[in-house]
Amino acid sequence: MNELKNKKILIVDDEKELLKLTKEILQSEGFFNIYTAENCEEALNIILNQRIALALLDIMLPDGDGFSLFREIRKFSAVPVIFLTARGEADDKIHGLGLGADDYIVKPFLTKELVLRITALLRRTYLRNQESAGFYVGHRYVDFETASVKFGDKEKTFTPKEFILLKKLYENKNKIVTNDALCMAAWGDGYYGYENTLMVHIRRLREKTEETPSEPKHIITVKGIGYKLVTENE
Amino acid sequence: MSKIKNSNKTAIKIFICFILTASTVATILLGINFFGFAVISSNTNDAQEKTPKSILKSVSQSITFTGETFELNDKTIIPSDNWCILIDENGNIIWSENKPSDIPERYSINDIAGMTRWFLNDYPVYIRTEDYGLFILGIPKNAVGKYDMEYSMKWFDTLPKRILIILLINIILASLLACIFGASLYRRLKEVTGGINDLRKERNVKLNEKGLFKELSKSINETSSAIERKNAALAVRDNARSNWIAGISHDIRTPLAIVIGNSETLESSDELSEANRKRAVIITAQSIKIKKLIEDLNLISSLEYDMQPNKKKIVWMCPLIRRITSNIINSGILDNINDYEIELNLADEKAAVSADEALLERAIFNLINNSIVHNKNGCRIEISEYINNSTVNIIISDNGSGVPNAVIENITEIPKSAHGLGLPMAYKIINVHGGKMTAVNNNGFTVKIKLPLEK
Repeated sequence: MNELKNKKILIVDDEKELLKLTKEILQSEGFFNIYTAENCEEALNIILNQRIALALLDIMLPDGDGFSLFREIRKFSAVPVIFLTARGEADDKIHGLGLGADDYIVKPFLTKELVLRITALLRRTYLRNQESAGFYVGHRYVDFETASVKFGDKEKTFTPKEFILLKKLYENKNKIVTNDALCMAAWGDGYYGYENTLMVHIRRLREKTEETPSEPKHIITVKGIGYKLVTENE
Repeated sequence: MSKIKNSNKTAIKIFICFILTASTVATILLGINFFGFAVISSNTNDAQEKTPKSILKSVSQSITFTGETFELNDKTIIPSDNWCILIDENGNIIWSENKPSDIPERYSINDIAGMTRWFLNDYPVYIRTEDYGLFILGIPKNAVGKYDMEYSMKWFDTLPKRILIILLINIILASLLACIFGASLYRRLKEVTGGINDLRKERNVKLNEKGLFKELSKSINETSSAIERKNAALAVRDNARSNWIAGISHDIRTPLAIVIGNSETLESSDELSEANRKRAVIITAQSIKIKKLIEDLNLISSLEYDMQPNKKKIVWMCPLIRRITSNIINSGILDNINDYEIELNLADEKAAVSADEALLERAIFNLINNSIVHNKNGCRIEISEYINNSTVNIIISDNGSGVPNAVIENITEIPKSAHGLGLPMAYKIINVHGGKMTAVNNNGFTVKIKLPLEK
C-alpha cells in the first residue's frame, strides 16, 4: 500500500488557496510527492520533466482550458487524469470523461471523497496485478490467475461468463450490483430477455463458491434489484 | 400529424357550411324568381291600356242597334290596324269595321270552331259573345303568337311532388356547382386554418399573401413573426438568466471547496478543543447544504419556468428504478438499513419513456428519499411498475406516517425556499415529460406516476 504514497501527484488549479488546501489534504493522508501548477504552461513543464503518476486538472485556467491541456498531455503521456472542476453540468462531465479522463470530481468536494478517488485510481493503475490476485469467499479462495475457486484439495474452474459476473460483483463487493449492470458486463445487453440466463449463471456460481448453494451466504440475492457479494476475509 | 388533421377538419366544416348556404340561397332564389315572374307577367298584361278584350268590351258597350243595322258611335275605339266584325246566329256578318278583303262574309259552325284556335286567315282573333251575335276582333297578322296549352287534373295532383323533385335536383346541382367553384376556396381555407393551428403551436407560419384571404393571411403571417420575435427575446432572456445562474454556481463552488476542505481539516485537528472541533463539524455540514443547493440551482430555475427537457432519449424504466434503488441502499443514506424494507414489483420490462434520464432519475430518487426522510424510524417502501393503455405507471408507496396535507396541496408549486423541494421538483419533472403525478396519504404515503409509453 505504501508504494502508492510516494507516487508523484500534480495538482493544477488557478486558485492558490485551493491548491494549498488540496496539497495539505493529500500530505496529511501520507502523499508527500505533491507538485502544483497554476496554469497550463507550468503543468506541461512539470509533466514533461517529472514522472508524474496522477494529475488533478481544473477546467478553467488562465491560459487555456483543462480539456485542451488534457489533449496536450495525452500527446506524450498516458498519466491518469482526474478533472477537478467547478463546472457541474452533466454535459461537461460527459465531455471530460468522453475525452478519456479517468475520473471527474465536481467542486466542492469532501476531503474523504477526493482521497478515496485518488487512491482508487492509483491502485487501479499501479497495483492492478497485486490487487487482483484473488480473494476469499468464506473458506474458498477465488484465484483470478486461473479463473478458478480452490477449497481443500479441490479446484473448480469458472466459465468465462461466470467469471465476468463474479469479478463484477467483487469490484463492487458488499454493494448491490443491479441485474442490468451484471447483464451489461457479461452479455453487453440489458436485463430484459436475460432474466433466466442470469439466474442460471448465478446458480452455477453459487454451486462453486457456496458451502450450501441453496442457502447462499456470499452471493446474496437482493430481490427485484440484483445481487451482492459479501466477503468476510479480505 | 393530428394537428394537420384538425386543420383539415376545420376547413371541411367551413366548406360544407359554404356549400349548404350556397345551395339554399340558389333554391330560395329559384322559388322567388318563379313566383315573382308569374305575378309580374300577369300584372303587365293588365297594365296595358287597350287589350283586345277591353276593345271588344268597349265595342259591345258602345254599339247601337238602329232597328236594321248596327252603328258604332265612336269609331276610335278600334285601332286603325285592327278590324272587327259581328256575326249573327246564322253565320252572316251583320256589322263590320276595317274588315280586310280576305275575311269571308259567311261563317259555318266549322269556321267558328276553327276560330277557337284564335286565328282567322292567319289574323289573330279575339271573340266576345253577346245575345245578339258574336264579335270578332282581328289584329294584324303576326302581331301575337298563340299557343294551345292543356293541363290534365292529374298534372296538377302530382305538381307538389314534381316541384319537390325539381327543388331537390336544384339543391344537388347548386351544391355541385358550389363544390366546383369552392374547390380553390377550400384549398385556401385549408392553408389559412392550418396556419392558425401552427400559430397556436407557436410554429413559424408563412402563408401565401394572395387571393380571397390576402388580408387574413397577411395578419396571420405578421402574428407569427411577432410571436417568433417575442419567443426569441424570451429565449435570450432565459438564456441570460440560466447563464447567470450557471456563472454564480460556478463562482461559489471554488470558495466553498476551500471552506469545506479547511473545516474538515479543523474537524480532525488535535490543537483545537472539543467544542471548537464541533464548530468545525457544523461549518462542514452547513457548507454541504450550500453545496447541495448550488447543485440544484440550475435545475430548480429551469423547472420553475417549465423549460422542456432538451436531452431526451429512450429511457428504460425498470433498469432505472433498479439502479436508483441500489444506489440508495449502497450509498448508506439509510441510517439503519434493517428498519427499511424496499420491495420492487416491476411487471413490464418493456416500459420505456422518452425522457431526460438525469431528470427522471432525480424525480424517482426524490420520491423514494421522501419516504425515507419522513419515516426516520423505518418503513416498508414498495415500488410497482406496469404498463396500461400506452401509459407507464409507477407507484411508490410506503406504510409510514405520511406527509402533512399542506405538502400535498402545494405539490404543484416550487417552494420559495429549498425546504420541501423534493416532491414539487418530482411533480414538475414528471409534468415536463408529459406525465401526471398524484400523491395521497393512504395508510402511509402513495405517489402515482403516469408517463406516456414510448413504443
